[in-house]
Parts: sequence; C-alpha cells; structure tokens
Amino acid sequence: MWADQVWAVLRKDVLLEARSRANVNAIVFFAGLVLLVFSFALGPNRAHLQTAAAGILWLALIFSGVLAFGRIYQIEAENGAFEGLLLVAQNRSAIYLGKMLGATVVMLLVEIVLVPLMAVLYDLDLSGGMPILLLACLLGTIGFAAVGALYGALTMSLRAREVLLPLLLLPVTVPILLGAVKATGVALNGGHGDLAVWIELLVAFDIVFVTAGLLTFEYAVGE
Amino acid sequence: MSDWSYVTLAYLVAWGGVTAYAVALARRVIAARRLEQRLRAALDMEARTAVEEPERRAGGNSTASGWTAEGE
Amino acid sequence: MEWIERRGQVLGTAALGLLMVGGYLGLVWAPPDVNQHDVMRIMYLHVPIAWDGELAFGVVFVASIMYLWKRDLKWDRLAAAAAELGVLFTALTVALGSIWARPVWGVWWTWDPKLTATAVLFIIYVGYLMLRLVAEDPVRRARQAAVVGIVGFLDVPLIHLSSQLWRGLHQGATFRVLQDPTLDDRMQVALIVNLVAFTVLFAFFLGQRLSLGRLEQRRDEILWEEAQRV
Repeated sequence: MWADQVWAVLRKDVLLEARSRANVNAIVFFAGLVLLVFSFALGPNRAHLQTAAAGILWLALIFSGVLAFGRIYQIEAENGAFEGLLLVAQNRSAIYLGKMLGATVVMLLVEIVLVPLMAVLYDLDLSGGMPILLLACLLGTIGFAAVGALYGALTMSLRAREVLLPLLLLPVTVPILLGAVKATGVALNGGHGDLAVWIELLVAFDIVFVTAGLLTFEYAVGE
Repeated sequence: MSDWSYVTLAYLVAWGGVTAYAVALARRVIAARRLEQRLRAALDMEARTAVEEPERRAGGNSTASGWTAEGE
Repeated sequence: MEWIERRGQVLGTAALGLLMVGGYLGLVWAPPDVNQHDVMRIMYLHVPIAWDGELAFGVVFVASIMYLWKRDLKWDRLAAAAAELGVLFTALTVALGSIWARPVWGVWWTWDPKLTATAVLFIIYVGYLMLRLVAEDPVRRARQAAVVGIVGFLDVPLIHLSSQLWRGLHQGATFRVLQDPTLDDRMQVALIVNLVAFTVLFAFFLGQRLSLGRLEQRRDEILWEEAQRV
C-alpha cells in the first residue's frame, strides 16, 4: 500500500514532466551552461580542467539540483495543491519518497548528459572508472535528493524560497559533496585511489538523511 | 607581530564579542519591556474609554435625540 | 527552563568572576607551551568557546524534538535562543581559530578538519536564523525551524567525519590540542576553569535570551488579541 502511494506520486510527477518537457529540459540546459561557465572561469588549460573535473561536475549538479528541488513543489505551491497530493497518497512519508525519487530521476538525467559532455570537453578517459563513476553518481544524487526533497517542501510556502533553499541545502550537503567529488575523482583517475572510505561516507549520509526525511517530512509540510 | 600581540588580539575578539552581545541583549530586553509597558498602558486606556463611552451615551439624552432629530 | 531565567543575576556575576579568574590563569599563571610558547594561551578561549557552540546546537536539537512532540512554544523559544548563542560562539570559534593559525603556521586560514567543520556548522545555523526571520506565523515557524534544527544537528558527525577524511589525504596544519601530551598540569587547570567559566556564561546568556523570547511572545499575543478585537 505504502509503496503504491510512492509510485502514485512519482508517476504523477513524471507524467506531468513528460507532457511539458520544459521543466527537465531547462534544468539540463542550465547544468550544461554551468559546466561551460566553470570551464571558462577555470580554463583553458586542459590539465587544470582535468584536475578540477570531478569538482566542476558536482558543482554543476548542485546548482541545477537546487533548481530541481524547488520545481518539484512548484505545482503544489502555486495552486495550493498539496491537499490534492494527500488524495493520491495519504502517507506523507510516501509523498516524500515519491518526490525524492522524482528529483533523483531528474538529476540522473542531467548526469547522463553532463558526463559525456564533460568527457568530450576535457578529453577525459572514462574507460577504467565507469562502474565507480556510476556508483558515485547514484549515491551522491540520492544524498542530495534526500535533503533537497525535504527542504524544498519546507521552503515551498516561503516568500524568500529562492534564496533560502540553497542557503539551507548547501551547508548540510557538504559531506555528500566531499564524498561524491572524491569518489568521482577516483573514477576519472581510472579507478586508482582510496575509494572505500568515500563510498562508506556516501552510504552513511544516504541512510541517515533518507531516514530523517521520511521521519520529518510531515512536519516540514505542515502538521 | 609578536606572540603576545596575537594573544591580545584573540582575547580582545573573544571578550569583546561576548561583551558586545551582552550589551545588545540587554538593550533588546529593555526595549521589549518598555514596549510591553506601553502596549499595556494603551490597552488599559482603550478598555477604560470603552467602558466610559456607553455610560456617557446612556446619561446624556440630548445627544441621542440630537441625532434622531436630524434624521427626521 | 524558568529557573535559568530567574537566576540571571547570580549566573551573570558568577560568569564574570570565573572569566576573570580564568583569564588570569590563562594569561599569567599557566606556563607557555613548549612548542607554541605564549600563543598557546589562545587555547583557553578557543576550546571553551567551541564547546559552547556545540552545546548550543545540542540544545537546539533537543528543543526542536521536544517542540515537535509537545507542541508547547516554550520549546521553540529555547531553540531560537540557543541557536542565536550557537551562531555567536561558532563565529568566535572560527575567528579565534584563524587568529591562532596565523602565528603558528603563518596563514590566516588552514583547512583544519575541526575548524572547517565549525565554519560549515556556523552557516547551517545562520540559515536556521534566516528561516525564522522570513517565516510568517509563529506556529508554522516553530515547526519549520524544528525540522531544520534536527536535520542540521544530525549532519554534525557527518561533517566532522568528512572534513577529517578530506584533510586526511593532505596532511598539514591541524589543531590537535586536546591530544597534546605536553599539556602541563597548570595548563589543564586553566583550561578547566575557563571551560566552566564559559559554560556559566552560556547559561547566563541563555536565561537572558529566553526572557527576551518570552517578552516577544507576549507582545505578539497582545497584538494578535488586538487584531482579533478590531
């Protein structure tokens, strides 16, 4: 039953997005733009860019992620439709998970575009590190989405949402940023490097914050 | 800069920061207390006039008829 | 909670006295360090103030949970008061860390894991206070702040862990004060006295800030009643 609710929320958002692809397209383009802008700011020395590649990737992901976490609640915020969501899924924690998974999907789509783009722009060799890269992207994205789906809902009704969401989100997600960048760095290095400890960090963060999100979401949206 | 200048700087920053906060807090508390006094005084005034007004109206018939006379 | 407010004068005088004693012990009585000489005396400020910051956030965490459980606004008042103190003390911690780093390593900033973690914590709680500023009605504000207070605190161990791992790969300037085996007996005494002094100071500030919170809540109640009557 609970899983059905999660699926219902996720499906509704995905269908809405699929029909008007403006939302996801804009976010993907924005991420690509951030990548480009960082390249201008830090380049054109290819060696420098290669060293900074993992960091630049995750910065682009964070900034587009902040947009995404705001957008997944935009419909509900604008139309006061949050009560409508409760018809679809009575359990607020199910709504949380549905929203979180939706945000994860959006960010994964961004990554699918961004990673090859970056490999081309910076002449990166992804051959040795692909599995690690996939793992790092997945774990890191889940971590961001876990906090993002919570704080996005929390700030949904506030008039200063655009500033407050990143202000709250970024410091809390520092551990995920550190872990994801380091793990991605190992992947881009052909798989050589101290990986285990970063993966453990990412997993720990994911577990803690998905749990925290499930438990506190009802308070974030109003009870 | 010598060692002791850094130590002095540190102690100034720490004790200075703490003192500044203590002063700011004290001022906020005083301002809040004063505001509450004024609010209470204003509300008491209002409550008293609210009681006095109907008494005055009931006692002075001329005022009341003055109105109705105009109306007719 | 009320007993802290009522003991304001006692706590304030005690804090002042203890700080003066602690200051004397730290600046005069305790010997200079073997390695860092007199610069080490900054420790008698830095460690207690850092502790106050962590204590404050612990209070925010507990108060936030208590509010969500009991829905009594007095817990929200406690969280707000403690958060403000936390921002004060973490800001001072970071500033003192910087002042300490300069003579020891020649730089105004070192990516020391604990200092970095404290800086992140500072930003988390500034965000908490900003949220309280823009939220509109007191009940919703309390609820939203409580979530942020809880999530922020849960992040603390992860932030410490990740900063340590991050720096661990590039060994360099770190504060390893409390594990320092060369800590003299006198230095330990001075440190403990200052720790107690700053904890009493924390309690004093908390009481004062709670009184302020209560006055503000009463003012809001009065204004709300008025608005209802009109």
